[in-house]
Amino acid sequence: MEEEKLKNILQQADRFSGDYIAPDASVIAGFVRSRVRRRRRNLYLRFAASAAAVLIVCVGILNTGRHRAVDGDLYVKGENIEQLQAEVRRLQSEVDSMQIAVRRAIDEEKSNATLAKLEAELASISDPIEDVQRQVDRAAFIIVYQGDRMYRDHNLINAAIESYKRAIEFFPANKWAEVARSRLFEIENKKKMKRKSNTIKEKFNANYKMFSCITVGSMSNLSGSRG
Amino acid sequence: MLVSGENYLKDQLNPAAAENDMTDDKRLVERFNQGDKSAFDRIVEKYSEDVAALANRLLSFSGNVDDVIQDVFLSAFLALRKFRHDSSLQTWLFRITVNKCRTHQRKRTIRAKLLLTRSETTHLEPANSSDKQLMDRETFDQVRLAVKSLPVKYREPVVLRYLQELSMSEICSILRIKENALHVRLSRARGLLKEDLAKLME
Repeated sequence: MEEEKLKNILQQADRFSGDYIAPDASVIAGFVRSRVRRRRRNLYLRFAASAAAVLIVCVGILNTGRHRAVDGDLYVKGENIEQLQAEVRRLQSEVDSMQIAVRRAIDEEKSNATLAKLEAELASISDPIEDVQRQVDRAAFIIVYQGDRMYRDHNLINAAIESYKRAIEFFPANKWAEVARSRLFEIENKKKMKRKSNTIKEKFNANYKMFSCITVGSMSNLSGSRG
Repeated sequence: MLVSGENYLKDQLNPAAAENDMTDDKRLVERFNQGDKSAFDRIVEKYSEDVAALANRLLSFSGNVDDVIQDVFLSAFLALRKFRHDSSLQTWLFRITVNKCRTHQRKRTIRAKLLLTRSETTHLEPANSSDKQLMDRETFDQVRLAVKSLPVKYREPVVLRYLQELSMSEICSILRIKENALHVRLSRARGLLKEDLAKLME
């Protein structure tokens, strides 16, 4: 009786929970097939990897066996002591010559390294002539620069000309002496132009004055005749 | 919902139909073994509902048993060649389902312990209004919790006997236990449920 009651309660709860809608059969089947394919692929890969590992181990074992056999042969051959001694001597001389060669190579390497180091140091030392040239250039530049400042910024033309002339006098072959020369030429030109314009101006003024006198005179004559 | 129960009743009332079903299953398995892919589709189509219902009940109406269903049919696909027809295909699939649910349950318990959080299970919508009248949400939750709190070895016989309505021999075959052991488990499960559902039983 109680069992029936319990069964009823459980079945009511089961019905209350509603139908569980399972995914579509084709979806499940498709999923199962894809998982089976993946499993098979993994299985093949694992099989291939283990086969390769086994193969490597086998090859290793075989190689070790072969080495052992070779050692055994040597041991058998080595029964002749004299032959063995000769062999040892030969090997010793070979080792010695190799050692000498190696030592020579090491020495050569060392000397090469020292040479490279010295060359690098030498390259880092500056050329004194170049140094002097650089200083000369610098001095000429300073004189020309001073002249430029006086000429352009302060309009001290005579002082500037003095500076340029000094640069030309002290460093005639320097590139800054060329610059100083071009500046002097420029100043000379400007002076000439100024002089020319002044002359023209003076002439113009004189002509203008004469013309105005004539005009004023003729105008007064004209007014007098009318009156 | 009680598809298996209906099947069981059908089997009891009409043994010829049950036999036809068995031969049909046998044919399907043979076709699958011969490489007919559609045979597996047919098996899935035929049993996915039953498997889903059983998994849902065994996992305390968690409402999310798609993974379990897929695992069940994957295992079936891989092992179908070894199926010897000692039991019916449905019983065999149910046995796989029970095992998969155990694994799923174990994994879920471990995960819950690791996360230290108790995730609320999703509820399914109530079936229809008449059932709603018979049972409300609170009562359902009470029953669900009572079933859920049963140890697995008692929960499985309860679900298979009272919800799937399988015969004792079938349950024994699925759980691989003797009939005496099944009786003992059912009796103990009933005792535990009576304690939890005492109010409802009055």
